[in-house]
Order: sequence, then structure tokens, then C-alpha cells
Amino acid sequence: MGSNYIIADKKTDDTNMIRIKKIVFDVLKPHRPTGLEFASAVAEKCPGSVVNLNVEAVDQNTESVLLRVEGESLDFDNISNTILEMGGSIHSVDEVEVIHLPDAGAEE
Amino acid sequence: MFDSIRASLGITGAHGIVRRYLVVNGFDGALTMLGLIVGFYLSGTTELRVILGACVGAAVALAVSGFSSAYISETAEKQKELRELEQAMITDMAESIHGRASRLLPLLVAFVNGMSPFVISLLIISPIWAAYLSIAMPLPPLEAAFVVALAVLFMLGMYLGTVSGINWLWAGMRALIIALVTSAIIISLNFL
Repeated sequence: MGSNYIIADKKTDDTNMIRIKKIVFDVLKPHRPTGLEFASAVAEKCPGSVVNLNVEAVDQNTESVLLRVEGESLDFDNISNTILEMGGSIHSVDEVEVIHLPDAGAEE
Repeated sequence: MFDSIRASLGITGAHGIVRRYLVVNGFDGALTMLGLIVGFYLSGTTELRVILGACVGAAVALAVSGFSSAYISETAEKQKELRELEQAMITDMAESIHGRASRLLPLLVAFVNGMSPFVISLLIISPIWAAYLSIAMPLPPLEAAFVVALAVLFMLGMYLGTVSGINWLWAGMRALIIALVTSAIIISLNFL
């Protein structure tokens, strides 16, 4: 990823830090693993996070879900890799909430 | 790693499949040994080395047959399921838990399908083996092996009964009746 992308706990330049607080994915997933197993797998990879999964539509073999992950400092790559590993396919990122933390060294 | 394997196998309902293969081919192995034992008893063969050779040969053949047949059929089945899922998802799922499960499950099922009749066969012929090694037993070797075969079949039936939630005694008796009918057919063929 280039420097224009937001990654948790990564400095975007020498003085600023961007942290992801909330991210909502539109995901297409198979019926198995179940929503509970799917959300638990994501939560397991993001300690301290709150994961919420809403089923939007159900098809014969798949279901569309909205996966909302909230935490102090979320790792986008970690979450998206977990979704792919669980057999999901990310259609879009519908909502994000990021926080800009001035670098501690710069404040002093 | 084991969590990942368990998760992969969990989503495919591996427990049910493995249990089915364990009982189906285990039953196969037990009945084959029962048939051989009854056949040897009726033919009056007393040479334990010949009986052991035939039984172990049949057990190995059952194991190889069980392994290869289950591997081929389950691989085809799981690849078909994965292709259908990939079509629905419109993505390559080879690296997902579904892809891993489609590679792992056929191996696990093949192992169980091969080992189940092999281990059960060895268990049934253990009295013959003991007699061959001159270990004293309360019954003659073929009769003892026959009793062990009936006991194993009863327990397989009982296990199925427990799994399906029906009366375990009736399920065990049903398996025992099948074993006795098989023996009766072999005995009646001997009179032809």
C-alpha cells in the first residue's frame, strides 16, 4: 500500500499517526462458517474489539453480511485477511472511523 | 495449526462423514472376517498359519480398498462442492478454510475408511493369533474369533444406536441378527 492509505498504528508521515476505530465491511460469505463463527474468528484476531455481524440477504449458497468492527486500533490487513480466510469476499468498505493522533514526540 | 485444521473440518461436517465411514467399513471388515472364520470352520481347516495368512491378506486388501475408494470418491465430491461454492462466491477459495477442508477431508476420511476394517479385522482374528503364539484360551481359536466378531458387530450396532438416539440394545441386537443371518447363509451354502 502506498503512503496515501490509512493503516492502523502506521505513521502517515514523520509526525502524524492514524488509527482505525471503526470499519464496516460489506461481505459475501458462504452459509458455513456461521455468522457466529465468522464474527468470532474476526474478534479473535482483534483483541479488545467489538464485532457485529448483520445478515442483509440470504441466497442458496451464500449470504451478504455487514460486518462492523470497532476497537481502539484496528488492523485493516489483519481483518481483511481473516475474512478471506474464512471464505468471505469483501464487496466494499461501507463505513470507516479513523482517529488522528499527533505523535507524542512532536507534542513535546 | 490444530485449531485451523479443526475449523476447516468443522465447516464441512467432517464428524458425521468420518463416523459414517468408520461404521460402514468397520461393519464391512467385521462381516468379512466373520465369513472367513465360518468358512474355515466349515472346511475343517486347522492350519492356523493358513487361516491367519488368509485373514490378514483380506484385512490388508480391505484397508487398501477402503483408503483408495474413499480418497477418490471424497476428493471428487469435495472438489465439486468447492467449485460450486467458488461459482456462487465468484472467487478463488483455494486458500480459504473451504479450500483447505476440500484437501484435508478426503485424506482423513480415507485414513478412517482404511484403518477401520483393518483394526477391526485384526481384533477379530486376535484369538487365532494368540493360539498361533501358543497362548492358552478358554475356547478353540476359530470359535473364539467367531465370538469376538459377534461382539464387535454388536458394539458397532450399539454405537450407531447411541449416535442416532435409538435404543442401543435394539441397535446392537439388529447388528447381531445381521451377523447371524450371514453365518446362516454361509452354513446353508455349505450343504449345497
